[in-house]
Amino acid sequence: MANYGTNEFKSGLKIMLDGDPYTIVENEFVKPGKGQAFNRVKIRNLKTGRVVDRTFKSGDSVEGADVMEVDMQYLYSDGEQWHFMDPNTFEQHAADETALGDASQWLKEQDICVVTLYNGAPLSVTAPNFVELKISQSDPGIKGDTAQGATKPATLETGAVVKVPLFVEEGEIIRIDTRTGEYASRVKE
Amino acid sequence: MQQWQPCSSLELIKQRALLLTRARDFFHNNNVLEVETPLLAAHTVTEPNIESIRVALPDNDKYLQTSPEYAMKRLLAAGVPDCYQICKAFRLHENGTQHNSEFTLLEWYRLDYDLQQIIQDTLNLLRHMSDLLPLHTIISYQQALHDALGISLADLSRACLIEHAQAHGMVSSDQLSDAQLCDFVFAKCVTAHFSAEGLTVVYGYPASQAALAQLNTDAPATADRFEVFLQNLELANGYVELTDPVAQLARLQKEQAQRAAMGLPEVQIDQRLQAALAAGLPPCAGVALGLDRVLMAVNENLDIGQVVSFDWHHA
Repeated sequence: MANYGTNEFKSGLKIMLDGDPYTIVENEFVKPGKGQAFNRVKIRNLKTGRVVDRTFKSGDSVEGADVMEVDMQYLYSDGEQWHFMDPNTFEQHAADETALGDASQWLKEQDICVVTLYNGAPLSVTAPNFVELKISQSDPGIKGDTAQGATKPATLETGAVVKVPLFVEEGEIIRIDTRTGEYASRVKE
Repeated sequence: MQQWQPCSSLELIKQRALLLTRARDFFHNNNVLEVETPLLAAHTVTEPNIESIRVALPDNDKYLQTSPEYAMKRLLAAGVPDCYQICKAFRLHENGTQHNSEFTLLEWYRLDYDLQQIIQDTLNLLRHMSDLLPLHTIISYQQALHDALGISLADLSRACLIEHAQAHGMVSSDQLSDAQLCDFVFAKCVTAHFSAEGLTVVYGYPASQAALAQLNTDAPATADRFEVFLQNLELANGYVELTDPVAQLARLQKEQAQRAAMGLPEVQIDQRLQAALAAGLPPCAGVALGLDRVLMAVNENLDIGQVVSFDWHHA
């Protein structure tokens, strides 16, 4: 991988630090007038998701991380692995539960999502910001309960459970914001 | 479509004009002469942490000045009295939220001023420029360090510096010199905690950071240098000036050696400045004040890119 100098630092750049891949979230140039210049960065560990503050001496260089974000189609799960395909190359990749993280509860076969490849293997999977899923089970809302914002649990076709307004019924398709895990709207078929 | 519009608002363009008027007004009232010196000169600073912009010319290359210090000292040595200058200064690779490679400096010199007098002069000027910059505290470098980390200058061993630097996220500790580690620790652990409501004046910098300030006669481990901060934003840097040509030559040569060790481009010592000192620089104190920074400070810490008409990337 190429090395990057601090003058090439910008948010989104993928670098290696202590053997782990990181993405730069924020980069700030800091310099006491007569003193040494530094680059203070906020970086996210792509394996753990943790964000840490680090400072580099300006002019230093750091190894780039072989990380790519690729749009892939989710094909199926065999129970242990989730299988994805790059629609451009038809290349298939299998990701394990750790890489899937939260995304597993939102993915439906054929959905397009972002797979982060580290050294060619899936490191993490990001579900689309919004997904549309069918409610497989939800008790009817109790008539007369008109309290504003009252909700009930609904189980989706993927197994995920979300809170939905009382008027939403079993069998309906709803739109969910995967970043918050919250109901967004009903989808008319 | 190219962004052709200014980076700063009309309101800030007007505020800048007002600051300039008030600064000139202050110096006029105090009988300080306005002067001009060349922005392009044959020599530049030897400081290892400041990189000059070299301009290729048909005969001899020249440098855009990183501050008017050298030329103004030549004026003082020639008998020019108290004087000030408002000019552009240029420093390569310095761009960020607080830095723009081209920026506006207000630099002035007062004959026979000691450290206390020049600090007071700086505070008077700032008060004249804006009532939004009250003094919070005047504190020694040593005391600021002690308040923040519970250690004294004498405790600042390499091991101690590395420990604090690493605890605060420094990745390149092993490759940094003691002075560089000290810069980081002071910036990260000390100035970051200064008041956001008023100015903090720090004086008595360690002798290793004296630059061209004279060493304190009573405490020669410290220099008669001060800086003014609003939180971690550095507004001004001032010295009681070193006037001894031999001591200055030794410092400039040391900086040249540091540059060589750091693999930086070689910079020749300005012999005209040395000759001026040999002829006699009168006892004086000088300050460089970042005008863009003052504008930032009185506008709730805007980025420098918002207070200059066109920043480095849109110039």
